[in-house]
Amino acid sequence: MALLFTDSGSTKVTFGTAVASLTAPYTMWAWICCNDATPTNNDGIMGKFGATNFREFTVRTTGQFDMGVDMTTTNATARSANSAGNLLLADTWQFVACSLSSSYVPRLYLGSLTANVAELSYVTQTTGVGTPDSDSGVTFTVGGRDSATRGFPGKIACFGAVLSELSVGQLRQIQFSPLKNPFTHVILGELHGTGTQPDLSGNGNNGTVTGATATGHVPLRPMFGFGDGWRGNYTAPVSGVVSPRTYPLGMNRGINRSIARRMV
Amino acid sequence: MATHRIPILGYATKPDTSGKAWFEPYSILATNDVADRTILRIDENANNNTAMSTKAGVYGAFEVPQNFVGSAAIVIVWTSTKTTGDAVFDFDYRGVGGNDSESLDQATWQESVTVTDTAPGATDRRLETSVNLTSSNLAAGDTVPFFFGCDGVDAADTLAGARLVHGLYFQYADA
Repeated sequence: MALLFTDSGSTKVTFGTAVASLTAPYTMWAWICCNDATPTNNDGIMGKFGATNFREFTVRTTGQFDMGVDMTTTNATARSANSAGNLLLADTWQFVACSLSSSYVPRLYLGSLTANVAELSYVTQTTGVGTPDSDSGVTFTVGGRDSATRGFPGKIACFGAVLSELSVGQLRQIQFSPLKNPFTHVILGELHGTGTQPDLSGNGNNGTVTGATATGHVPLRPMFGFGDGWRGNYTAPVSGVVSPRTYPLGMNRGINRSIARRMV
Repeated sequence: MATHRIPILGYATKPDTSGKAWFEPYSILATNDVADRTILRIDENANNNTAMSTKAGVYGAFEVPQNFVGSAAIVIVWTSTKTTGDAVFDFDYRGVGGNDSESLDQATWQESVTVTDTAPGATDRRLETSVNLTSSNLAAGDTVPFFFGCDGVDAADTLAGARLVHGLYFQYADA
């Protein structure tokens, strides 16, 4: 499932202030589906939205993607170029990610159900100067911004944050198996229903839904499509003759007991 | 005696962290897209034009079936859109058995095997290759953790493009 948020509404899921601080380097990612590619306001995808200690990942009214990190001297900021390949699409599931390197270089990434994730081109890419202002005490929010009516303009299915700068290849490893990826997360979630949203990272920072409604999700399941034959279930042999079998007494149904039969 | 095959990319499958082995819809590189299922892609990058430079793949685990007797092997079903070059597949594993006798947290692989296969004669043709395992390493009911991938460090690995794995099987013989 996924949750449907409202453009510029007070919709969001809050995961509390105990979610680990997003110190550099870090990466945030999500599967999103906008119902309006040019929203009314610059709305939140996910992050920590403190006024002076933010780690923001947002969409803009122009359909661009933004990330911003509050720093003591110059904020790290990145905004995608205003071109077709760098923008939100309406009614289209998109895989989005942002990262901040250990040297405070911000990056943005975009993929889809038919294209592997790739780094976006930028109209703004400003390396942060100084050090990130502490974001401890700021709640982690998905689908909106904690203190403003900036609900995401559409659906979000799943999301996560990792305290490393994931490469584009590592983001590919998340893209089509987001809940079975190999990276340790500080927060990881699949949004479903309107009750408590479990934190699948194991850190126990479950989320509370405000205003969002349950909706259908991007078709990413099953995560691996090769079946459960690893359990050793019996399958028909590919060659050779099956060994003789005896029927237990309880199954003979009037046939001679313990008859050994050869099956062809 | 009969020969059996069981698929082994089950729930325990997990890519390594190289960024070079991932699951994706077959439609990303396929043309006709009639059956858009999930496949395992092992590729140096997403450009489908570069040979592997390192070893990359997935970890997993399976259980040896109760009717296992011998002739253990790994069977790989794969393809590529490239029609030249060779791919080197590695399979590392350890059989862990018993009840309260062997640790599942092992420090080394029991055996590492390699097989080299050539790119298809035409794009997307089904390829099947296999490599034998030492059957005495395994017993019915064993849990077998493994790593499966492509080894770009091996000079024989020359395929400049994606290896699309459509199936990975444990093959064995019963009594």
